[in-house]
Order: sequence, then structure tokens, then C-alpha cells
Amino acid sequence: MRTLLLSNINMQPLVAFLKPWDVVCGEFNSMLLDLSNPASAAASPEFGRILCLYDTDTLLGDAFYGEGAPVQCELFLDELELFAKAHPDKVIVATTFCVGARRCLNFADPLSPHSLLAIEARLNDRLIGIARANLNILLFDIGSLIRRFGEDVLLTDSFWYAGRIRYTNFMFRALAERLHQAADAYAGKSRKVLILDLDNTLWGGIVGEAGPNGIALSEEGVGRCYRDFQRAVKALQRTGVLLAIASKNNPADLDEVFRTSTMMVLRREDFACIEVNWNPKPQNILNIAEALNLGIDSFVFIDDSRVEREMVRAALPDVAIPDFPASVESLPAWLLYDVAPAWFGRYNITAEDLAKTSQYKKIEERQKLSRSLDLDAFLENLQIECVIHVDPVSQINRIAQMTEKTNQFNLTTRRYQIPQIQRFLDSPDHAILLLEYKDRFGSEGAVGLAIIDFFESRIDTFLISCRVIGRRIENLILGKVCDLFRERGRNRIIGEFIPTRKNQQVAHFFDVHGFSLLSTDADGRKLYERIIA
Amino acid sequence: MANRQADVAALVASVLKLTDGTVGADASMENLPQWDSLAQLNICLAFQERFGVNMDMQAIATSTSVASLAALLPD
Repeated sequence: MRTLLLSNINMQPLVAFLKPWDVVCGEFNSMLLDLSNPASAAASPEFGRILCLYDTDTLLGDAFYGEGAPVQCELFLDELELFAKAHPDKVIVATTFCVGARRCLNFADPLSPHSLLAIEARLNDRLIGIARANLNILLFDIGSLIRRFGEDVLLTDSFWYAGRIRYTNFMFRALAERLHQAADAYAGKSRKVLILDLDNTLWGGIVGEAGPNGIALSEEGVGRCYRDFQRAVKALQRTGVLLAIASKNNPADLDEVFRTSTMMVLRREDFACIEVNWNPKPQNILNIAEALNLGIDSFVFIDDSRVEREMVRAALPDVAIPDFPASVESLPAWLLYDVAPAWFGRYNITAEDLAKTSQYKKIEERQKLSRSLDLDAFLENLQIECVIHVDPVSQINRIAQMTEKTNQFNLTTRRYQIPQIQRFLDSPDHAILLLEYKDRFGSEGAVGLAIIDFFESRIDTFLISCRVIGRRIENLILGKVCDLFRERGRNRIIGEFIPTRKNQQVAHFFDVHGFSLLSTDADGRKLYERIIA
Repeated sequence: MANRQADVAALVASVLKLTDGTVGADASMENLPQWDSLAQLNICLAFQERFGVNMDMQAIATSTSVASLAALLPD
């Protein structure tokens, strides 16, 4: 996918920093023209991603000097909305409005009828409304980046007057990094599990020596750093990140902290998995992977000990291991500035994200039940109830997320972003089937997905979330797929299996579901057919 | 002096995506075809970040050679 960069200032230096993206810079100050002209490069199918990175002060024109309305800004919003609707298959990255710190009205600005503060808020309100209604717009909050480092570091007047370059290289570098992270978050590419150490990570001191009352965890002093860190971790968990503990300690000491400490923000039930013992950490991390049925390439490991980090890095190179900050007071900011955007970036937060930890904890209860019964009796005992929705438009975020994140029970592993899912939903030649699951332990939400192509009589995508594998719900989806093909008068279904490093468990899915093999190509991709009456 | 010029030449080479060593101490906008006015802005942005020297508009307009850029560095 190629990217077109549009602006009203000279953003050409950003191109080099945006590698590995293949970026072309539009003509200088051509943003409004390119969005409105149906013959422009922006409208061409060559570009799948359009960046609208404009400078608000410049776009304000005379309004910046307190004269008149922000006509160009309103015009940009008009054009952005029309362009997004006309090109549902393109992702449009648009920055928020961010008025600089220079105010012609200085202290009078907030209350003035020409207030830039008020103009900025009004424009952003309208922009947010447009982005909510057009999911192919990725709204990028450039203000948070400028606030973090400050205009003295990020802006330059000499390059502005020498060549219409508003930003320093520091800004271009930081902007490119954040844009990459935001695009990953938009695409649903993020890690799933945060594994935490205990001593000098979740609290100060060593609980085995100081005792549960001797650790630093409080509202004042050093203890406040750790308590705020826990608050930030808890906030991450609420966006769908699963938490786990890997620590060398006596389990009884942790029990006592959970039982007696009034300063722990994180409680036992916040953790999907806890490995507290004296085993090497790589072993404990593998145990967590097994318990949660997730790959270690979805893990991030935070530990204050460099030795532990190096040991895990050497044994399990797929685990992401950020360097721990040198001073404890940086801990909360480090998590929010650096760790979360890099590995746990979120753009849309779905209902499944909010309930994630409780869903994973139920896995353990169900596993206990399954060990005591044979499979038929186990499944009957679960009292499974499923509903299959066809083309559920309101679940578009979850559908895209499932195609991005499901690796194991996934027959074709095709990754789709929201614009592509929108196209399937709009197309009469496609249907999307989404299965919602519940049993007597509770609801799992949407966990099964099929995308079918009536025109080619083909199953494009067929996947099941790993946490419900082994409950035979794939049979329900396949049954519904067959029903839909029958309703369309089709008597032949083409099935496709594309092997990956992770989906070997479904290599024979079609063989055991009444399909016959048509062909196998050199890459191991197999085509099957099934005749339906 | 020679050291500073070598550092600046290496920076210019990296901005212009030329092999290290192909930009000499005598290189300038006059004798390097890739060193156009847009490249000049990119070189100055990189120069400012790499050496922590703030360039004013005049310096951006006139420091169009390895030697003149190196002359902006403190002794």
C-alpha cells in the first residue's frame, strides 16, 4: 500500500522518517485541492493511505490574527468528509486541530469572540463527529505530541521562513514514530499480555525481606510512584490488555499482600495468570503462554532486574522487553509515553476488550471441568448457547480486530482493516457471519467469524478465537455457511487452507468436514470443494 | 578542522543517500548535483539536530558547502 502525504506546509522532510512506508509527498500546499479534485493523486487507487498533516495556525489564515472566521479550516472539514465517503477503501489519517501557543490576543483570548482556544475546540468537535461517522478516518491527536516536547523543541522559525518547514528534525522523527504506532493500533496490531515482576516493579522493596507492611506502596513519597504505576497498569487492563505476574517469591507473601494491603490498586482478580515460585522466569512465561493459550510473541515483560530481562531475552526472543527506567519516578510516565503506545496501542476499544480478563479467567474454570469429563459430557455440561449474526454492521471494529489477531484457528489468515470489512458488508456478493458465544460460566462475546464470497462460491475467511477452540462451534458456523450458499442457489462451496507458522491445528479442517481436495500448490495452499444438496 | 569537515561530509552523504566517502571536504551545492535547494533544507535540519547548532535564516541560505557548514561549528 502506498501513502500520499498532504499538507499546507512543507512536510517533505518527514518522508525519509516514515520508512518503511512508501510515501509520496503531494504538491506544496495542495491538501484542499487534492481532497476536492476527483482527478487528483489522492483519488487514484494507487494510494491506499492518505495523510492529512496540516499546520493549524497556517490554515487559520486571518483568523489566527483575530480577523474573520476560520474559513479554510471549515473547508478542510467539508472536503475531508466528502473524500472519506467517496473513498471508503482508503485510510485517511487526519491530525486534530492544534493552535500554537502564540496568541495575538494574549490574556484576552479565552473570553474573546475571536478566541483561538474556542475556535480550536469547535473545529475539533466537528472533526471528531466526522471521524466517528467515517471509520476510514484515523484521527491523530498531534496536540498530545506537541504538548509532550514543547514548541521550543519542535518548531523552527528559521526553516519556516527559509523554506516553509515548520518542524525540526526532532519533531519529524517523533511524529513518524507516533504515526507508525497509530497505524498499527488502527490495524489492531498490538500485543495482548503484560507480564509483570513484583519486587521493585509493582512496589518498592522486597516483600520476602520487608514483609507485606514494609514494601513501598502508598500515596506519598516513593510509594506513590509505584501506586501511580499500578493505576496506569490498571488503565491499560481496561483497554483489553491481559495482566500476568512472573516473580521469584513465596506465593504466601503475595497472598498476604493481596489480603492485607490497602494500597494495592491491582487485585488478584485483575490478573489472568499468576506464576509466583522459584523457577526460572522463561519457564514461568512459557507456563503463562500455555495457561492462556497465547503465543509469546503477544507478550511484553516488565522487570526491574537487568539480569532477569537478559535471561528472558536470550531464551525467548519473541517476548518484547522494554528497558526499565533508571529512576523510579519515571515509572508511570514511562508506561504511558513509551510502553503503551509501542506495544499496546489502541484505536477502537471493543466490548470484548473491556471484558477480556474475566473471559480468560473462565478458561481456567472450564479447563478444570474438562479434565473431569469426556468431551461430549463436558460440552453438554457447559450449556453452550450461540447466536450467529449475518452482516452485523455495528460490530465492524470487532470483525476487523478478529481478522488481525486470530492466528491459530484461522484457515486463511487474511488480515482486514475496517475499510475492507465495510466493503464486504456493503457488497451483495459477500456475507459476514459472526458467532456470539455464551455458556453457563458467562458470555465470551463474538468469537467466531466467516466471510463468504457468493460470486466465487468461496469461503474467504473462517476463524475461531483461541479461547473457545475445542467446543465444536466451528460446526455451527459451517452449517450456517452452507445454509446461506443454498439460499443463493449455490450447490458447490470452495474451501481454502493457507498454511502459516501457527495454524497447523486446522490443516485438516476441510478434510474432516466433508470437503474433497482439489489442488495443493507449491506453498502448501490447498483448495477444496464440497457439493451441497 | 579536518575532523569537523569529515563529520559534516558524512552527514551530507547520509542525507543525500550517497555512499560514505563520496562526499569530500570540498563538496558544495555547486559541484554536487543531488545538493539542490530542497536537499539544502534537509541537510541543515540534520546538521542542526546532529551538532546542536541553531541555524538562522541567513545561515540556511548561505551555508551551501561542507566547508561553510563546518565553519559554523564551535572550536
